[in-house]
Amino acid sequence: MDKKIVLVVDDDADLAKMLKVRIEAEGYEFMSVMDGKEMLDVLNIKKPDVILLDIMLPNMDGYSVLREMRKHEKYANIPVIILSAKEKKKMGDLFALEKVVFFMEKPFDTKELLEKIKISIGEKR
Amino acid sequence: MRNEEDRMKDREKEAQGLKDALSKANKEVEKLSRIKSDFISMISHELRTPLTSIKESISLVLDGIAGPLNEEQKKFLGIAKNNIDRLAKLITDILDMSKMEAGRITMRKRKLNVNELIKEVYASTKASVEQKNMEFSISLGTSVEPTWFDPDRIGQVLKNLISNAIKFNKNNGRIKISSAKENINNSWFVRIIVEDNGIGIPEKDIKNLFRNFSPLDTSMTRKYGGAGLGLCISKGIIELHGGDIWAISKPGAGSKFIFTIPIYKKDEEFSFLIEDSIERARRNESKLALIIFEVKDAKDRNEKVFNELEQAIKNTVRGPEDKITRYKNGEFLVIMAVTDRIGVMAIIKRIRERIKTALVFGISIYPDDTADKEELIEKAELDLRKGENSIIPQKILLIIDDEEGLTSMLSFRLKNMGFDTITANDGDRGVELAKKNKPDLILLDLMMPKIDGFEVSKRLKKDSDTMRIPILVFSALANKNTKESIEQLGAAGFIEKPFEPEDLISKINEVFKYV
Repeated sequence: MDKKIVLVVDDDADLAKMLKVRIEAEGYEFMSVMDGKEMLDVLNIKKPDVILLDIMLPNMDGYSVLREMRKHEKYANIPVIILSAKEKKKMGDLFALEKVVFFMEKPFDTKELLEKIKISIGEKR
Repeated sequence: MRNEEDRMKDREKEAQGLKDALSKANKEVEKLSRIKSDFISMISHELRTPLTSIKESISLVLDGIAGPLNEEQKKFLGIAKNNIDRLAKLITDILDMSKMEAGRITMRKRKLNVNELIKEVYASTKASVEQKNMEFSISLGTSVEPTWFDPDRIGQVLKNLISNAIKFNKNNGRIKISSAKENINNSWFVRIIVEDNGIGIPEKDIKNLFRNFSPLDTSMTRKYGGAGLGLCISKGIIELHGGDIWAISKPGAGSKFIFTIPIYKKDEEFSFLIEDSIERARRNESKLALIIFEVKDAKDRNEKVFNELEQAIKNTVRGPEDKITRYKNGEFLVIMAVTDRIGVMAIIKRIRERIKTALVFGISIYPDDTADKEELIEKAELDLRKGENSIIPQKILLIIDDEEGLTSMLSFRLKNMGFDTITANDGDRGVELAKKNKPDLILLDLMMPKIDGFEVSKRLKKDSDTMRIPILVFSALANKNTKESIEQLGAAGFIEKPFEPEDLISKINEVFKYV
């Protein structure tokens, strides 16, 4: 069976590097981009099984890219986990967008994140 | 005599001048406080970002992914990790604190039984208490009644008190949470106690507990890690609920943290609800709708009718967040509904359907800057007299689509949004209904058997009865050609299938804006 793909969208290169080690250690394929625009570009080529999305991003931020991806049937249903330093309380409207399955406040607990990735791609119920 | 009057006027002028200066200064302080709060909010984000990388790199090493570690290395990295968590918690607390100072924290109060919340918090913190080999129990008062509070915020207070009890514990530690109904000075409260048998607090420190950064004496801080801002924030939260928080403790014998939440009497509840709604509306969290019933004749003051009315409105408002309050003010009976625009429309619809009385009524929706209750009522009465701001006419929508599932789903949703709907499952019937009912808007599918959307549209545009009704076309066919032909049809808008209901609603509103 093909490896499941995890796409990380975060402008913090250090964090992406470390997440790569973690995510690959779990047996997933890892991809990362720095902003929302790049994310949309990648989505046209490859379909990830879950997206870890930061909110405060250069060029196109997390809110906009979420709204944008929902418009396209092809990738509207990819589960999204928000990873953000913004407060959870302000995220209420994002959850209403349905496709956001989890919200994790930075700094997050890695074990919890890996657990949520598993649930999101349906390996665990 | 003249002089006396002049002097009086001078004094009044002077007083007014001082009042203006004071109010200006107050506004300035509020503004500064907001700037500070914005700044802290930004800084908090900036701090969390590097903290995330630090935490993740430490976790990577600690979890042995970068190679095996010896016990000593694990221990030290564990300390680093714990302190990162502390720092993150502190950043959250500082943010809360500054918001509280700037008056920007809002309580989303709901009428709930605090016992339910205690059970929930107990279940979610049980593991972390027992991990420290401590005993954890709850004892819930059976007479505790539902009362108004924000479950997230009161939960935050409980968790904070529990984490303090864990932090300041000793061997054979015990934590117990209890609740009870209690009468203090003729008012009823729910009293919640978080009790431990830990190291206790010296008497001289108790009074400082709830102040900013007052982590007991410094040696204790070093040993246990400060109590920090948690208690201060808890105090702010409890006060915003109209309650009180305090501590009783003896060094070596444990501590009791006690807080209260008021239980309102029926008439107090009315004024509480009004105040709370105004407060929320002021913070732009919801719109206020005042429904005013003018009672022209004393014989119309029929309690039964009013009760029915109130019940009808209650059944109409949409969520647990929506509230209904009723009170009398001179010749007016006022029912105040806290809901949003859609909720208001639903209420109007219900009133028209159900209530057949001679009452004159008006509904007014107010913007968030109306701060004063009296002012609000006055303005609403005035508006009612002028016939302004009241009764939003119900729009009728005709849905024409051969997919029956879609028409009934759409109709259900639109009815919930306060629109009136009629449906037709083929083109002929659609044209017929349009002529008969003269809807405000037609939602038209293009692909239909027998006569299709293009044909329906042509027929509608030919007939003087229906030619002015705006049409919103939806279709799965969205190539350039269809779009062009739709434009030629004179449709007011186009929406591609499949669509999100929100998008459809916003399209509908857009059409109505220009009609």
